[in-house]
Amino acid sequence: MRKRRIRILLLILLVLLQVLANRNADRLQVHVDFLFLIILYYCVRSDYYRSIIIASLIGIITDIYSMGILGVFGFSRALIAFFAFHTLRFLDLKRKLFFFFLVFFSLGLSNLIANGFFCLINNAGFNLRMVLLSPVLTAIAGVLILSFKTVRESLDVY
Amino acid sequence: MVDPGNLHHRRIWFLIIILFVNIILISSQIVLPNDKSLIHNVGIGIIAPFQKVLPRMAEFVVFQFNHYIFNRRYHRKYLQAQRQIDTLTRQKALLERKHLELEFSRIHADIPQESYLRAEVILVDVDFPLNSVLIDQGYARGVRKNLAVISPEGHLVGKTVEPITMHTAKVRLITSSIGGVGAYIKTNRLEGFLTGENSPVCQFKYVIGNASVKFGEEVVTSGTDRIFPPFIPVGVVSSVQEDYLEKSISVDPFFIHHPIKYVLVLTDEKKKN
Repeated sequence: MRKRRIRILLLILLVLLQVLANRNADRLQVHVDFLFLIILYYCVRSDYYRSIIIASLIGIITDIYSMGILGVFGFSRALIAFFAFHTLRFLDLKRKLFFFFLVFFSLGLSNLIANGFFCLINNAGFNLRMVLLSPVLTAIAGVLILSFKTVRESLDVY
Repeated sequence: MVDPGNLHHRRIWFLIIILFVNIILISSQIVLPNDKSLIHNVGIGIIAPFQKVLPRMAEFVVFQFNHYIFNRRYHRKYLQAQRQIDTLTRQKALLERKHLELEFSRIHADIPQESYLRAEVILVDVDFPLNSVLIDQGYARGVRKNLAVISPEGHLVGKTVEPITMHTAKVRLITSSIGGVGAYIKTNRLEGFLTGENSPVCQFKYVIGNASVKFGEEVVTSGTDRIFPPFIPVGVVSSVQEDYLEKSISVDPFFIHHPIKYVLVLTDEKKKN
């Protein structure tokens, strides 16, 4: 029960952090995708279908707040959730480096796909900040959150 | 228990559906140079051919349906007409039979009823149809060998030959290659011998070369053969060719121009003589 409560609180915290990050994105010139961590959380904790649907919905939410084209992140997040769901089962999440690389590569790939869409649709160029910087920062944030013992316990990562 | 392979397929399909929904979402927002969204254009691109084809298809279906209704209606009428035709054909056959019987009576009014026997042809020689036929009267009704057989119109048909059973008798036709008929040209009584060749034409033989025979002259029986009564019409001269000693004369028999369904067997010896 306690674990469940912590998990819910953690999700709410991630959403709040995302809102905060978005509101200050212009000022900070960086973008941390806390919602992507929720996707990974569902990939670890939930079943396949729910993971994919949540990933797609979170992607669409990302589309909405990024003021981009609706469905681009929905597409890329759903696709990455599929791979992440199958990969996470084989990773030792106790090792923070693994977790870091998991977040970095999956978010990087997801953003790369989204960037590809933007290139095709809007003739936008390659966005280094989106493809590299944002995954790095998100991965660091994820590692930091996972470093809390309470969080680890709630996620059954010992 | 779910098959793992099946489960994997289901998962892949689920992902594809989700991705497809997102693609639809994306394409609904892409605006093309014609101020229409991509999905709008794709939609039009998909629907337009159907819009083109559907009215034609509908027209085609309506046309075929009408055609079917038309055909069905007329098929019903056709069947009715067919039934009527069948009925009328039967009636016609009955009337023809009656007519034939009346014709018999009319033509042979002068011949006493007891002097001839009416018989129906029940079998025709399949290999040589102009050779012989079988009639449905036999010795039970007085049919004997070498009786003259004439058609209802009074034309010579042939004579009865063996085998004669109780109820059947064989009739050798004058067109048969066996036997012959003593006959002469009606106008000048020029006598000869008529033989058949199993063909529709008979040969009138033994007519001397200097005799005058013309095309279209009628040939009748002479009675000299002691089988056929005299003056029975046989046929007309269809061709005359000069030969060294005798003429080569072809005769077109009358009886072959009418279907032989019924014949008369002349039984009365007195009449025959």
